[in-house]
Amino acid sequence: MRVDRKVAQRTPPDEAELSACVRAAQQGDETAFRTVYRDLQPRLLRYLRALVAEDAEDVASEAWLQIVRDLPSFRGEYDGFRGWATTIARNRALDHVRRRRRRPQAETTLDELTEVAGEHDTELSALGGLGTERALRMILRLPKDQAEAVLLRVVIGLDAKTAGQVLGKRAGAVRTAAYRGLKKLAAEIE
Amino acid sequence: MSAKRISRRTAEQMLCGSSAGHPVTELLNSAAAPGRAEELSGEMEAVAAFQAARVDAPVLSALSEEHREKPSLRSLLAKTLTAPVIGVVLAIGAVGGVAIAANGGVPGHKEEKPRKPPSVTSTPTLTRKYAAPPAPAPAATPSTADLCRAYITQGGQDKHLAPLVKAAGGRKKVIAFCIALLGWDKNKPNGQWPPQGWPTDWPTSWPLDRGWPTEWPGELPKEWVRPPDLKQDKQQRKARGEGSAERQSLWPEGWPELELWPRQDQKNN
Repeated sequence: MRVDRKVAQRTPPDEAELSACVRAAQQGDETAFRTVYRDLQPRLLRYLRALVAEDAEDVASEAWLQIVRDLPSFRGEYDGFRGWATTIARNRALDHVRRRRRRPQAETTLDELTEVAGEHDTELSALGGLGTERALRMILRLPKDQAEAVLLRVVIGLDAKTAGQVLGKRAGAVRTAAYRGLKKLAAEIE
Repeated sequence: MSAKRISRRTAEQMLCGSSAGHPVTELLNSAAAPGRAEELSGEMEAVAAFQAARVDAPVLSALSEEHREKPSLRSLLAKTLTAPVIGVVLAIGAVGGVAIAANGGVPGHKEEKPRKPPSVTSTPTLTRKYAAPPAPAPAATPSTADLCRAYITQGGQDKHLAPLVKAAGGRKKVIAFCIALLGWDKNKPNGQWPPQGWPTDWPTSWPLDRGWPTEWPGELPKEWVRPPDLKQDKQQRKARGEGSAERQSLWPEGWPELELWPRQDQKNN
C-alpha cells in the first residue's frame, strides 16, 4: 500500500513508542507523559471543537484531569489509549453541554453547538493555520454525527470499531456516517 | 474523481489515509496535521495534574497500618502535597518566576499555616469536579515551608517530595526555589546572597508547631552549598539539541549569577 508523505503525517510517528510511553507514564515517567500529551492533545482539541466549540480547551483540561487520575487503571496499547482518552473527553464534553443546557441563556442542543462551532469559532480564525483550520471548518459544518465520525477516524485516528465504542454505536453506523460526511465534503469542494 | 464516484471503499481508504490525490484526502490530511504550539498551551497544567496524581496514587496503597494509625511526614505530605504544588507550578507558569522574585512569594499564597491547600479550582482551566480531594484535617496541612524544611532535613530522599523537586525544576534548584517562595529580598545586590550570610537556624517565620524536625541540619545538603551549574547544564542540553527555555523560566528573575553564589570552601573560609 502506497502512503504519501502527507498521509504519513497523519499517522503517529511510532505507535510502539507511544505505547511504551503510556506504560512509562503509568509508572510515573513525566517525560513519557509529555510525549503522550503532545500527541493526543491537539487531536482531542480538534475533536472537542465539534462538541463544545470555543470551550474545547476547558473541556480538554477536565478530560486530562480524569485521564491522569485513571491512568493506572488503563490496560492496552496506544490505539486503545486514544479511544479510552477520547471517550473520557467526549463524556466531559457532554457533561459540559448538559451544564450549559441548564443555564437559561444557553439552552442549546448539541447540534446547535456544532453549528456554532462551524460558523463562529473564533479560535479557528485566530490560530491562522489556513490549511488545517479551513479543513476543520468544513468538517465542523457537517451534521454532528458525520462530523464526529470523520474527526474520530481522521483526527483522533481511531478505526471504525473503536470510534463506534466511543460513540456508543456500531462500527457500521460510524462507517456510514463518515462516508456520508466525505461525500458532502467532496461535493462542497467541487 | 468526483464526489459522486466516492464509493464506500474509497471513503474507507480516505479515512485510513491511503487514498492519495483526491481533494478530500488532502483536506483530511490538513485536518489531521501535526499539532501546533497553540494547541499545547495546557501542557503545564496537565503535567502538574499528572505529578499530583502520581503522588497520591502510591500512598494510599503503600502505607503500612502503623503509618495509618499515626500520621507521619510521608502520609501528611502525600495527602496534602497535591494542591500546593499544583498552585506553585501554575504560578510559575503564569508569571515566569517574575512575580515570585518581586513579591517574595507566590502571589496570594500565604506561606505560614495555611488552613487548607489552595484549591485546584482557582486555576482557570481546572475544575472542581476533578480537583484533588482536600486534606482531611487542616491541622495536618504542611505549608510550603514545611515541604522545604522536610526537603532540607531529609536531603530530598522522600519520594513524596518529588513534586516539590519537579516544581523547582530539579533537585539542585529546590533550595533556591524554596527561598524564592518563602521570601527573599531581590533588592539586595548580587553577590551578597544570602543577604544575612549563611543561615544557622530556620527562618523565624517558618512554623515550628507541626511536629516537624526542628534541628537545623548539621550538614547542609550539597544543593544548598553548590547551586546548579547552569552553564554545564546548558552545554549538555545544547549537545543533546534540547531547548532550555522551559527550565530557565523556572529560575526566579533577579537571582544572582551562579558565579556569585558562595561555595562550601568559601563558606568555611
